[in-house]
Amino acid sequence: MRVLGLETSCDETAVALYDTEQGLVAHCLNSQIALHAPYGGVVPEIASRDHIRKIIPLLKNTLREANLKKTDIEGIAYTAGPGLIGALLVGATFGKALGLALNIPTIAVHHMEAHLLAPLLETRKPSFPFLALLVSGGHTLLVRVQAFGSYTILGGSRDDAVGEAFDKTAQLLGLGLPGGSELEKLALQGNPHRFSFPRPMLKRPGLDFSFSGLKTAVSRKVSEEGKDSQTKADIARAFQDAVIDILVKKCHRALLATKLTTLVVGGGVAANQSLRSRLFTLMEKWGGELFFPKLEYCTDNAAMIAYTGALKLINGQRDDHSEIRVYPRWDL
Amino acid sequence: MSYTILALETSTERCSVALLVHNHLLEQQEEGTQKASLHVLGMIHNLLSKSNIFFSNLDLIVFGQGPGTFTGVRLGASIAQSLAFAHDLPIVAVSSLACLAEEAHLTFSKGAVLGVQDARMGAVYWGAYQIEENNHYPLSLTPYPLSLTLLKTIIPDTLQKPSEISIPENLLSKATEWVGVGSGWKAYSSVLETRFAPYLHHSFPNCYPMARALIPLAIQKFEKGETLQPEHALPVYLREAL
Repeated sequence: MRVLGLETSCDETAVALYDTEQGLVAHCLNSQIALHAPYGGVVPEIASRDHIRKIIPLLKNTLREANLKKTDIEGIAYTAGPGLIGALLVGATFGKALGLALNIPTIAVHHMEAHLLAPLLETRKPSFPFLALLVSGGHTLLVRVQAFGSYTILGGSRDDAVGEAFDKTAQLLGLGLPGGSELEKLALQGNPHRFSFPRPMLKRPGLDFSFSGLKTAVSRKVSEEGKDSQTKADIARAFQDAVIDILVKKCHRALLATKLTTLVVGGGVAANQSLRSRLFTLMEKWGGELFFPKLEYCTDNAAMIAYTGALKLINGQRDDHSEIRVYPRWDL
Repeated sequence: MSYTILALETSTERCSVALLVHNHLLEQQEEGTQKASLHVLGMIHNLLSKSNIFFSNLDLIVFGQGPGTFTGVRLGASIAQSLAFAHDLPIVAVSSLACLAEEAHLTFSKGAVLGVQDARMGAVYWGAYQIEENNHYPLSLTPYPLSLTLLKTIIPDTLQKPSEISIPENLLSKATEWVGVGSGWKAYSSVLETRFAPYLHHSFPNCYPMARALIPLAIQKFEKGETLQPEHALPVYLREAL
């Protein structure tokens, strides 16, 4: 079955085609990062306006890349949430209308479920059950993935998502977008011993996270110590060390609690090299396997939406109504 | 020639869909902005199946491109894009204020229309239109006396404060009886009625742009070749995103 995937939940417009026999056939993406950069964050209305401009050109590219016609599409999967309501509506409306026009089934996909399943798009893929750490601008989650459709949330952030903490800290340090990777570059020049930031919620048991206190501590340090370039690098380093320490220790705790031997790390923050090497060390000691899906599957994309939708559709699930419904807040 | 046309107007809290088949018009409407996204595809499906029409039988799709609520105009544009893309159909985009003017003409048979829609935040979307019967198109569409009219834009669609609306005297005096239509005439009735008192025949705040009124406008645009590729069928917002 050939399934079209549409992703418009935030600031990326993405279209992909997944074939249940051949695997991922094609995927295209347009990032709006430059559009939002002047505002220091994603502006929802700007995001929605761009999605509607880009969705057909991306769909045409995807079909061309796949060497397929629109009538070859046999099902449509779209991100129905969580995300920005106006942005979600563009993909959901387009997808549902296309399903009606082509007389093929549509299926609403949960963006986070798709992130959890994205590692399975790789040739070297984890097998169930596994522990998943999702770290992005919108989410910080530790999830036990038993099987397709069976997820247990072990912990999440009580305030800011980890990627958001990276972005806000980058902003405090006067760095450009994308904040996370700019901060990582700067931290390379930082002295790890000059500053030390608190590690919230590490002393307490449990697998939840909190990053807003850390952000406040950084903000205080920036105003106290000034903004000369070495100080900024030192602050970036201390911040990154604190965040990674928290993530790695919570993963360790989750492994101990679940006795799982496979860890999968997804989301944009998974691109951070220091995080990768610390987790690698952890899993070596644990004697387990570590998986980092390709960055293009880690960050928002439509391949994971098409894939998740395809699994659902071949499982007999489908939208049973023509209503265009999106869920800006949607629990997994 | 008899056209088969699907029309969508979703720029206000009254969402409507119309289908023209064999010079006969079918339509459906729904009240409430949230309801539009829930019902609009079902409404389209109903009209088509009632008439035994498939998407591939359509000659064109017309949608009201705004100005109006951002989410509303995107809903219409997105559906038009998708349906047209699926079946390689041409799209005609029509101003929702032009649609409102045509609707006023259908309902009240008045030729000069001042369409004012409440745009929130102390502003309105407005445009002034004049309608003349077009004798070159002696077409009537049942059940409405929809004839193909000539719609002239007197003042193009604009976003302004109600107190800033003005029409030059020479243009205003072209018609003796203007009608005011649209939600702006409820939200800002005193400002607007005072302003246009000598020329205003009546105002009808409960007159909405309706999909049926898009059809005569679409036929003329279509015959002039004013059609769009699906990816170019985009909303007109008039207001910046911020």
